[in-house]
Amino acid sequence: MPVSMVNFLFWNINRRPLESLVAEIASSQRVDLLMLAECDIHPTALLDILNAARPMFRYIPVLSRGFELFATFSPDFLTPLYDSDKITIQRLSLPARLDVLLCIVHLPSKLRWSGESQALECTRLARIIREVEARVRHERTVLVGDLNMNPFEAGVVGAAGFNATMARQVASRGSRSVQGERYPFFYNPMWGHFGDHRGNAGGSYYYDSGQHVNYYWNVFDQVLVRPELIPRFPVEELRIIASTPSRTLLSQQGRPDGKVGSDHLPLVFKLDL
Amino acid sequence: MPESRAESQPGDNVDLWPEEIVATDITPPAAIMQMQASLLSKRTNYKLRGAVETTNTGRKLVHTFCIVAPSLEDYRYELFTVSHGVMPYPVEVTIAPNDVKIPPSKELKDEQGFLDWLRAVLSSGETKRVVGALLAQVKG
Repeated sequence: MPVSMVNFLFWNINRRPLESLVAEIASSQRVDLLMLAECDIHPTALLDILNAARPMFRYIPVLSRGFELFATFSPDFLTPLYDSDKITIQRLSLPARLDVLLCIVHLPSKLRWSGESQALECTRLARIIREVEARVRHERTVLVGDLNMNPFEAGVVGAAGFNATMARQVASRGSRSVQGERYPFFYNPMWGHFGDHRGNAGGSYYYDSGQHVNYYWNVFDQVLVRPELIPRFPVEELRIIASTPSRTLLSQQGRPDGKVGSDHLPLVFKLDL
Repeated sequence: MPESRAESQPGDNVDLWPEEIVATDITPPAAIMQMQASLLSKRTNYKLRGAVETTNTGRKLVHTFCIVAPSLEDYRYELFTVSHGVMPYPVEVTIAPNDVKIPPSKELKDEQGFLDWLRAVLSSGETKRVVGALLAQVKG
């Protein structure tokens, strides 16, 4: 593994007291940047457990109420550029590494927002991301988080939304134009994480709606990268975590076990910066 | 062949509009938000400023109020978002600070309702937290 590889973990922990589990995954996955959504654990309590064996992690304060960040590097290397309850955009500039924009999102649930509202929110957030990219004068952007949408939904694939395609070759075109307007692509590797062919979970979130159309497994937790970062994003290192060294995060029925972990499964990925 | 001249029809050259065509004296939400954005600059000695960003989603105008810290690389904090249709009221609250009450319908019926809600937002603990944290980091 190149030393320039940075390890990321995103997890919506559903307001559960999962500090031990978070610390175990952070340690076993050698995480450098830990991003938690729906986290009610006090940062000091989590730091105590994260650093129990070795003092490695630091708390990264962010103004957004939606996320808690912890890193093995100094908070000085993350510069906040935009915050709301649903998104935090940070510039990650590690010494002698390529700087990137990190957009961490947690979009409204389908329980409260219609599909149309979710899609319109994506167009708004996509515009904000493009504006911040214009400010920093590059498009080396990683978007990660709980989108509460599947990769095939309009807000994720739509040109004015995240414009995220399943194919690197398509994304590598850079952008596409619709009605004369240019929209930069994201590459969305999460399409490859539908189903249980990898031997564990069928997605990152399970929901049995009892309706005619029922996917059961959903891939709501996603990471998208702009084309420039595709060569630096090893797809084989992107994983939905279904077990830790000490326990499984799935119930006997093979679904996320809310008694052990969260209703969402964690997502880990690496970037060669 | 000579052009045939159209015969005048009933209604030609008749102004059917009423005597007075004037704008209503309603202040639209975006104008109210712009005013408060300007006031934030004055109240913070221009260390922070407010910004109102409007997007048209086709059926709705969406207005987002941001607090901007120019000396922190133009850092922006999105405080709240509202939207409305062709008519400026009612206003629908889309995103708001957690500690500010929103009507169950999420709608603010008229200008006064919007003013009352906005006053609650701007004086909320969440807004004070964000403004205080940014002012503490702003140089000079």
